[in-house]
Amino acid sequence: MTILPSASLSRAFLAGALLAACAHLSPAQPPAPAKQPARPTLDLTPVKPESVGFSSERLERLHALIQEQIDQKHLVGAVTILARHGKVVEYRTYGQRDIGTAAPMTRDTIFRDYSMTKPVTGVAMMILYEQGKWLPSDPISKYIPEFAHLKVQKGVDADGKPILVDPDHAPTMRELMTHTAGFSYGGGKTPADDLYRDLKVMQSATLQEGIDRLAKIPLLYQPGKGWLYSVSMDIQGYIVEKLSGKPLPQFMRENIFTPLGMRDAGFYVPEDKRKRFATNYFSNPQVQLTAGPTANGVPTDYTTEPTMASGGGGLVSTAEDYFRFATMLANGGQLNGARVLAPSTVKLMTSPHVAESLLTGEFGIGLSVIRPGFSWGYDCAVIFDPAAANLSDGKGTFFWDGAAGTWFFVDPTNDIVFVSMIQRMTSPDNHSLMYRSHAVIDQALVDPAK
Amino acid sequence: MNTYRLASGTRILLAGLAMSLAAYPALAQQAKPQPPASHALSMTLVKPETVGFSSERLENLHKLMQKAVDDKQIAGIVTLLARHGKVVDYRTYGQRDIASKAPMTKDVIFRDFSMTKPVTGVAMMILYEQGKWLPSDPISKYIPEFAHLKVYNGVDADGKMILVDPDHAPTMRELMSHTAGFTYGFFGDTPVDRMYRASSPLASKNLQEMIDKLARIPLLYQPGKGWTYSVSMDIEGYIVEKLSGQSLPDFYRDHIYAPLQMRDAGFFVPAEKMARFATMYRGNEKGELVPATNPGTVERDYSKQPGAPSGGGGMVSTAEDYYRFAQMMANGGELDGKRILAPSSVRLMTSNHVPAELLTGQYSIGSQVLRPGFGYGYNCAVVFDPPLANLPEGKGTFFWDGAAGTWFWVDPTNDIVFIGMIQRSGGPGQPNLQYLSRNTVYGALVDPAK
Repeated sequence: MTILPSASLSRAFLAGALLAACAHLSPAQPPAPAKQPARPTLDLTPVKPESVGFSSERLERLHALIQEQIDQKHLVGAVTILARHGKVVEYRTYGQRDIGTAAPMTRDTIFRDYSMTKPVTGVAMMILYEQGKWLPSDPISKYIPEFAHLKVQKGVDADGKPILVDPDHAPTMRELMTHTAGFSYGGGKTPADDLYRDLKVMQSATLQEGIDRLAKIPLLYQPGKGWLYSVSMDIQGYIVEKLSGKPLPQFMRENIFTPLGMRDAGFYVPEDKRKRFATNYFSNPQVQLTAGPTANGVPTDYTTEPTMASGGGGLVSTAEDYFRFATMLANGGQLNGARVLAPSTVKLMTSPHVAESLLTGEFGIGLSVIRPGFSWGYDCAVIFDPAAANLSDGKGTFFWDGAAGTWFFVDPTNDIVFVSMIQRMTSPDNHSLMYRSHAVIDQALVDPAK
Repeated sequence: MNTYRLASGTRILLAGLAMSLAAYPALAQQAKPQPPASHALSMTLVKPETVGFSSERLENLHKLMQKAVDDKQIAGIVTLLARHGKVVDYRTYGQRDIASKAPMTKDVIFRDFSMTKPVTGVAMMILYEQGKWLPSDPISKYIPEFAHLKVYNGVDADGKMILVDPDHAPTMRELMSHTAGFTYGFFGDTPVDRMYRASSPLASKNLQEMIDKLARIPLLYQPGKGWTYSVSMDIEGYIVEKLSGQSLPDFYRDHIYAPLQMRDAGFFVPAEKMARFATMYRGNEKGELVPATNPGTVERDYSKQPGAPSGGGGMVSTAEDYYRFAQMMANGGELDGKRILAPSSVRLMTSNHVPAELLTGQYSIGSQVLRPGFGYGYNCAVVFDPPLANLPEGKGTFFWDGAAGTWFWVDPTNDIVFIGMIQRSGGPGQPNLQYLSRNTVYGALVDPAK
């Protein structure tokens, strides 16, 4: 609370009394939200790590972690940015952008973000939320009438045919934002998963066609009764288009990329930027790096704006682009004076929203297992109890990664942002690099009070 | 709580004063008796930025309201937004009456319906502060007519009610939190509901008759084992009369309306104010607005003082009247130096009192769903964990709405008060302005530390 140096003494007096009254009112409640740190124009010149609590010596372990992967030929190249209190501590490149040409990795290299698109789509949804366009409690079918009659798959009968039942409740927007509505990617073995593959949902020509195909596929479980990584953020992309009246790429460009100065972020790589586009690799257990097409996901052709923009995985960007996005979230919704979201909205988006009864270790994707202390917010994972989750991050750390191994995290407790870009669709160790990087960054923060 | 009467007549909370002086030593030198006029709540708008709001982003609130009017979903609206006791936004939209094209004005009088409940809660808390009752008391201590209430426990083979004794006598605490076992009689079709409908306790000539009718109807469930929106606050109205020796309207006038200068608040609209009384609407099958009679169980003539004033829904007021009431609550029980309640009583009233095992989503009224993070205090709902409840507001936000769509909330964490007044009693197409307005307000709170 600010007490104005008003000419009216009584006004200040009253404000003080009000403050006291509020303090009396809610001693058990936290004080008003901490003031967002005043952030000068984002400066990418690294500061000395010690000035923001990091040990330079201990940060060598982060460098060694990544360099070792390159030396062992598990990884071709990487770009990393580490920042604290809005100041860049490290901005490094490792290895090469392309083995064939021996082109070195550069800061301006463009990467396939894949599922790191999801938090960006989450922000697009929250922009519309702030405009009063939707509520978490709304049924999805309020915005997608095609989903009004979705059934739920409840096992198979003697002939192997799916048994379909009505949903206990219409799946909600809240569930869509948390992968708990009942959708899938089609990676499982159930009849519904077969339908995802047979109908080629993710290969639809347009988002409308994707929605029409999804409307024919039952939910994999009762809404709210499971967690399954899914096309939910692609569905959100469709909702963004419907609520805003603009194509998803245009909406993101106008409301996120341009205000934040994310110059190379988009859903394709224009001709004049192609030479900066990193080659994507597969690292198989026999320790061979193979350049490959971007199979097992969409889009596969990055040369033109896709007709079906994927809110779940379609973005490309530089490390710096994504760093700007992540720093906006770390700042409570703004960067360099460009306000994208209000602080309360960022908090809502990055708070745990999966029912505690589901945080059992039964659900997850890869090493990101939903468990005690580890939940899912709107379009991102949240570590709400780091110790319970066996992680060293600060409370409330939110993050996600992408199919090509890119990852980022924002630690609001320690005010840390980390972005790391690589291009590797498979790794010999189930992409453990992400969680190992959390450990080595956290161990380098020797003076967190700084 | 000690109060200190200054020579000028200005009453300052002594404890609060000490605290604010401790926090702001500079004020200690400034503390002098001030003329009371300078303490008067000012309805003059302050620039939103001075209290942390973005003017530009508040346009989302205006657009939301204007669209509801333009789409002919709502005839007219008055909204009032304040922070730190300063009015930020106070607007009218549309019309008070469609037929006469009378514009909506700030002095329009609205049917508050269930927004009466928090006012009745304050009346009860005034008597609580006088040592007149305890939350642990059985209700029958004050209403002996309820000494032998039975509990409904299903029906036998002949369809006759099975009645059992209550596990414990329903308590005042349960009465204040809708968990005693009463109902309204129109949510279900149990024999208990049918008894409510047959005897219409809310259509009684006076409150004693209402009590006598209710004494003959069993409780719907074991006290404390459920949550049902109910006539509990009408019962409280009777208790207010009994404990104070005043009629409910007189008690409100002397202890709440007059001190808070709620000029048009009351249980009826006198002839000279009738021209300012808003027309009530509902949506017909086609979603068109048509004039409506009262929603709920009881037809009411608002032209004269009712024989059985309803503590659950009988009030009328302007937006500003209700704002003054809500700001009193936000201030920890006082407004303009008039102390209604002590801060501790406000805190007690606005803390969650429903056990966690009932906050499952199973109990609700309209869009108010009791769930994790969303509970009920004494005569008002409380969001004690906003992100968990999928809501953007501050922790401890308390609020309620009325059957004609009016709504308010008080956010003690962010020191925000919001009032929204409309007169539409449902029907297809009614937008959820209560919750959508929260999105837009919190989306505009860009500097909560201010």
